[in-house]
Parts: sequence; structure tokens; C-alpha cells
Amino acid sequence: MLDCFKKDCVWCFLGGAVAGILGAKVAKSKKTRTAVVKTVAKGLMAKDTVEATVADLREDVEDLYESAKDEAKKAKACDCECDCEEIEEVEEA
Amino acid sequence: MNFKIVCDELNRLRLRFGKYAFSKEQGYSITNLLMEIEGITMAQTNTANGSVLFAYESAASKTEALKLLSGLNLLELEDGVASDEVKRAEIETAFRQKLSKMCLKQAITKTAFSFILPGSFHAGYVGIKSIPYLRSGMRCMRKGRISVEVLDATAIGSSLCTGQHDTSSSIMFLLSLSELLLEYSNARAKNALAGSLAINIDKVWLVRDGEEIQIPTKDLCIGDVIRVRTGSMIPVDGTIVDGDALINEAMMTGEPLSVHKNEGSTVFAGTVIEEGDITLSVRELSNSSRISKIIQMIDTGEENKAAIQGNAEKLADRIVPVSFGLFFATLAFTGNFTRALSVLMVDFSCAIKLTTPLVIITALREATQNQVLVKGGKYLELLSKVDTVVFDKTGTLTKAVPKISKVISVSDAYTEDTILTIAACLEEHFPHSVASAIVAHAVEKDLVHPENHEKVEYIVAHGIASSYQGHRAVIGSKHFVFEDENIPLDEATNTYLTDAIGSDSAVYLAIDNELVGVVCINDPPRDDAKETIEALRKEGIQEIIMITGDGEAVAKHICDELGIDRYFASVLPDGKSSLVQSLKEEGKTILMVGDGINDAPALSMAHVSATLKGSSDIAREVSDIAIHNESLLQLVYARKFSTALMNKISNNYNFIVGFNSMLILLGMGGVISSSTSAWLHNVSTLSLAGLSTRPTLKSEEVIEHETT
Repeated sequence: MLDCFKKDCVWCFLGGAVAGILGAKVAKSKKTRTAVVKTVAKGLMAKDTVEATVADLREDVEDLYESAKDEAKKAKACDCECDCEEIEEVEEA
Repeated sequence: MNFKIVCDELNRLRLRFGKYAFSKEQGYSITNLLMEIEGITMAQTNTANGSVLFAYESAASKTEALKLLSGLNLLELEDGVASDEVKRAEIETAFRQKLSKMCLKQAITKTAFSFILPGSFHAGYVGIKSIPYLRSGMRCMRKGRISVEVLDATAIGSSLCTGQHDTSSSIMFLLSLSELLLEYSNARAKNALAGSLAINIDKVWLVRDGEEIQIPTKDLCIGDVIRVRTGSMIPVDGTIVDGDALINEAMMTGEPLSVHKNEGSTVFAGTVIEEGDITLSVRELSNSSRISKIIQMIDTGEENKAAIQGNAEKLADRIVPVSFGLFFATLAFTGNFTRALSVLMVDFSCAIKLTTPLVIITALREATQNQVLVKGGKYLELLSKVDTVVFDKTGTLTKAVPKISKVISVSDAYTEDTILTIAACLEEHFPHSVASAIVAHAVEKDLVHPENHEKVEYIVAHGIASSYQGHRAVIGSKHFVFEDENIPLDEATNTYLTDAIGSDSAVYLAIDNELVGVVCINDPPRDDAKETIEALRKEGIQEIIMITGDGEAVAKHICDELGIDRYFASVLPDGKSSLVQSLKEEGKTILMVGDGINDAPALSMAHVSATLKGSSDIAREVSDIAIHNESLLQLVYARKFSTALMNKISNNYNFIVGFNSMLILLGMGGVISSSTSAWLHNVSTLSLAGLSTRPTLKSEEVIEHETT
């Protein structure tokens, strides 16, 4: 019977069993639970912060785009007016 | 609440409260509050960063909006309901986000497994991802069903076993993409249909201190007492405090027969009173129960599913054993597993099962956007097969607002104006175009008609009986007044009235058992009625029939004017549904078009039925197609649309069979590999699915229809 302890697989099995039992105890402990809850909460808050930042950026771009669209419209209107004035001057001449 | 203004340009102001400031539902509430301010043209909120964006017309509206936002107490702010536009935008955003996530994940994993991670990781990852598909396939096998799920599981499983991880990964990716597309189309259709089927009753009769006053529905409060009469839809959930009625609850319970309800019974918003009057106490103001029933109807409506869709799904499952058969045959003849696998990668069933419902859901949504609300794919399919159209006359073929042409007095004691006043007093509460015409004419002539009558008994499509200032008064059709109520009519008066009335419709008034007068109604046909009839014939309708309760002279006059093939005059309400039944027995496929309460049985009897805008609530509830437009030409559009839909489904089917058969032959011949075969099949399925979401009618055809 003592010969079986010379085999690596037996030690692997025993080690795995011990690790499993200890791991289960640690996992069920209050401290672990608190740590996991805090970590997940921080993760969720980080996700919310990222989402808020992305939303801010998207909105700023949207506002810039609206301003740019308005500028382009004004420039187009100005060009049209200049063309009209030139045509009128030519006709008068 | 504190906020920071981040942008105020071009009459657009954006401010931010910060994250966690309000929930999504509170955001809807804020949007709704802002839109109530005069001068605010647009409002949006974003819960991620607590931002509010609104567009304003003047400095005054901007100031008011800012005052509202500063004074907001978010702890007390109630959840709001998103508007249709917001819901539509959310569906689009959710679809785009899911699609981008899927494509990005696929691209990243493909790159990672191709260049960075070892092959065994790829096998493990794909193996784990394939578990739901394999499980689904095994579940079907255990039930003894050789279905599309089994075929997908076999294709994925065999690709994994032969080390073709890319192939199995791409099959799973394309299957998920197909599911996403179907879910997106379903969500859009549900949103469009639910909005159209929601209760849109603007005004109700509030009972206060024994008197009835008409108020806007939005001013109702819980506990208010309202009166609802025959033919009207119940606008809110409530409890009956007085009266009894037969109520059609098909929308809520699926029960086609009406249910008798009396004092103490609960009634639901969206159900319709077929007979009787009730006074109810308001219990619930939102119509969420009705909306959820509508969504359930759209989702699980097996009975409303097009037969072609049901048949396509059954066919798709029946083809699966054929695919397996071809696989084993190829393996037996060629001895080449890879070649046999390429046959398995191509299946007709996946494409048929995906594209047919997609086409139908898209068509339902498209029809709704063009003001034609179809309550299921089955009715579009039936509409394409219709060969006979039966029209009701009054309110359908004729203008929705008939006019009073003259009032004839046959009694010395009652002048024309008195007759009109009494008629208006009696007819005021009833949902019929003739009643509305009488009331409108009295108003035009400044004839005041206070509530001088006692309880009114309304006999659908016949008339009204009541007491007026202590005298028994009856008003209605010739049949009702002279045959049902036994009011005497001598020969001389009859001859005189026949000449005087001519081709008008007539409503007879009798007081204390004596005929006192007749209100003549001129009910000209709609401007587009003749054009609609001609257009329907061009679309393949073989016979056009008219049914009316009106007299022979009136019916013949209308038929000659419009070119109608056949007519049935002086038909009683029960007679309409019997006539439709007899036409069905002749082997015809019938479309019935009606609007009144008395048309409801005939509308239910026909293969498919339609109502126009302005129809009674019960007719709209019972009909299969509700047109939100007063133009009869929408019927032509609906018919064209249904034919185009069936053609589209047929073309899809032909393409699926043709293309996939070619792939199978090429695979069996070893011309293409199994991964190419899978890729081509999946891409063609996805492309066809994408094309299935395109409009059914080309835009030129819609424009042509709108301008005619």
C-alpha cells in the first residue's frame, strides 16, 4: 500500500482533492464574497464611466457636426449671393 | 437638480446632469414634459451621461425648458412611456450595436486564432460555441424530428470533427446573424403594428351629476364614471356601475362570441360593445394590457400566419431528410467524406425558414407605414386570391359624411325644423354617419336640441326608440318604423313620400304612433369610388357586388353610376352575412368592405375583410385589414401589395431551390470544397434575407398609387 504513494498520479490526485476542498472553503468565506462583490461593483462602475465618456464624446462630435453643417450652409448661401450680384452687375453693364 | 450646459448654439441646447442622474424611463418622462412646452420642437435624453438635448424656437421656450429642468425632483419624477419615434430609434440603435459587436468579435477571434493563438485554442473555442447548436440538434433527434436544427448541428459538428474550424465558425456566425435580422424585423413590425392597433379614442362621455359631457380622453382620472354605447370601443379598463351589454372581447381573450357583462363586471380597454349601453367607473388609464395582447397576437399568432409561411416551414423540415439522403448517397458513390460534407453544408430549409417570415414581417410593417394595417400574413395571402369584392353602400361606397337634402313634414303639428330638432336630439349619441349628418344639419341651422329624451333604445341598423317630452318617438328605416313598430302608413302618403324622396335615402320619424316626417339624406358616392372599381377589375377582380339596407331605387342609382355588377337592396343586418355566406358557397373568394356596426357579421363571414377610416369601432376590430385613410383607392394598393408579396415569396423560393441545387451539384462533382459550398450557401441566404427586408412595392409603384 505504501508503494502507491510513490506514483506521481496519486500525489496529483491527492493534491487536486486538497486544493479543491481548500478552494471551496475559501470561495465560500465571507471575505472572499466581499472581495468579489467589491471587484464586480468596481468593474460595473468602470463600465458605466466608460459608457458615459463615450456618450460625451459622441455628443460633442454631434454638436460640432451641427455647427459645421450650419457654417457650410451659410458659406453656400454667401456664394450664391455673390454669384447673383455678379450676374446682376454683368447684366447692368 | 444641478446641470452643466455644454452647448447652446443654433437653437439647440445640450446640458448634462451627470451619470446616474435619471433612469431610462425617467428620461422618457423628461422628454414628454419638454415636448409639452410650446416652442420646443425636439427633445432627447441619454441615461449614460445624464444628458438632455432640446431644440427651441424662441428664447421664451428655452427659458421655460431650463426652468422645468432646474425644478425637476428626480425622486418624485414618474416613469414615462417612450414615443413611437423613440422606440423606433431604440430598435435601430440596439440592432446596430448588436451587429457591430458580432462583426467585431468575429473579426477579432478570426485574427487572434489565425495569427496569435495556437490551433488547439481555436478548436476549444469553436467547440464551446457550438454546444448550443449541437444541443438543439440532439433535442430534436430525441423527439424523433429530423429538422433544420439537426442539419445545422450535423454540419457544424462534422466541420469540427474534420478540423475545419473556420467553416463551423462561419456557419455559426451566419446563423446568429440570420437570427438577429429576424429579431430586428420582428421588433420593427411589432412596434409599427402595436402603435396602429393601440386605442386612439380622443373623446369620451363623462357622467357628472346625472349629465353627460364630452371630454378629451387624456383628461380622464381613475374613479371617473363614463358612458359607452353600442358600437363603441371601451377606452379604458373599468368596472360597470350601471347597465349591461354584449361585449366583443376577441382581442383580449381570443373568444369570438360576445360576452354578456352587467353591473360589477370588469371590462377591458380596446373591447367593443356589440349591443347595450354601460356606465363604467375608470380603474386603469394605461392600455398596456391591450398592447401586450397585440404583441402576443403578432408573436404567436399561428392562426394569423400565412398558409404559405406555415407550408414553407413544413417543407423546410421535410427537405432535411433529403439532404441527409444526398449526403449518404454521395459518400457511398464517391467514398469522399469532404465531398459528401459539401452537400450537407447546403440546405434549402434554412433559407426558406428564414426568408419567408422575414418577407411577411417586412410586408406587414410596410403596409402599416402606408396606412394599411393588416392583422396577419394570412390576410395578405387571401387578399391576393380574392376574385369578388362585396361593398357595403352607406359610408363605404358613398361619402363618409352624407348630407341632409330635405326634411318633409307630413303632420300639421310638426314643422320641418321641429322634426329636425327631435331627430338630432335622438340621434346625437350614436356612431353612425347618418346620425352625425342629422346632428350636423341641426347645428348648421342653429337648432338647439337639449336632452329632452329619456333612455334611448338603439336597435342596430334599424332605428332608435325613446320618449320625447313624454311622447313615444321612433326614428329609423322604413322597415323599422312601419313593420317593426307598426306605425300606420296610408297609400296616399306612401305615394307622396315615394315621389318626394326620389333617389335619396330616408329616415322616418313617428311620434305617438303617427308618422310626422321624413329626413332625406343625399348620400353621393365617393369621388374615387368609380375609379377604385375600375382599378380593382384591372387587378383581376372578376365581380363587384354592393349590399345595402337602403331601397331598390337608391341602390340601382348608385350601381348604374359606379358600374357595379350586382346589388342586393333592402338587406337586413342578418341578411348581409347570409349573402356573403351564399357567395362563398358559390366558390368565390370574398373581400368584404364595410364600416357600420351592422356590417360586423358580414365582415367576419368573408374570407378577408377591410374597413376604411371613420368606420365604427366594432367594424375596425372585426376586420382583417383596417385602412387608416378615407380613400377607397387604398384597397387597390392593398390588392397590388398582396400580389407583389406573393410574387416576391415565389421568386425567393425559386432562387433558393435553383441556387442551392447548383451548389449541391458542384459539391457532389468536387468542383467546390465544403467550406466554399458552406460560404456560398450562407452568403446567398444572408443576401436573400437582406433583400427580403426591402420594400415589397417599388417606390415608383407607390408614388403612382399616391398620385392617382
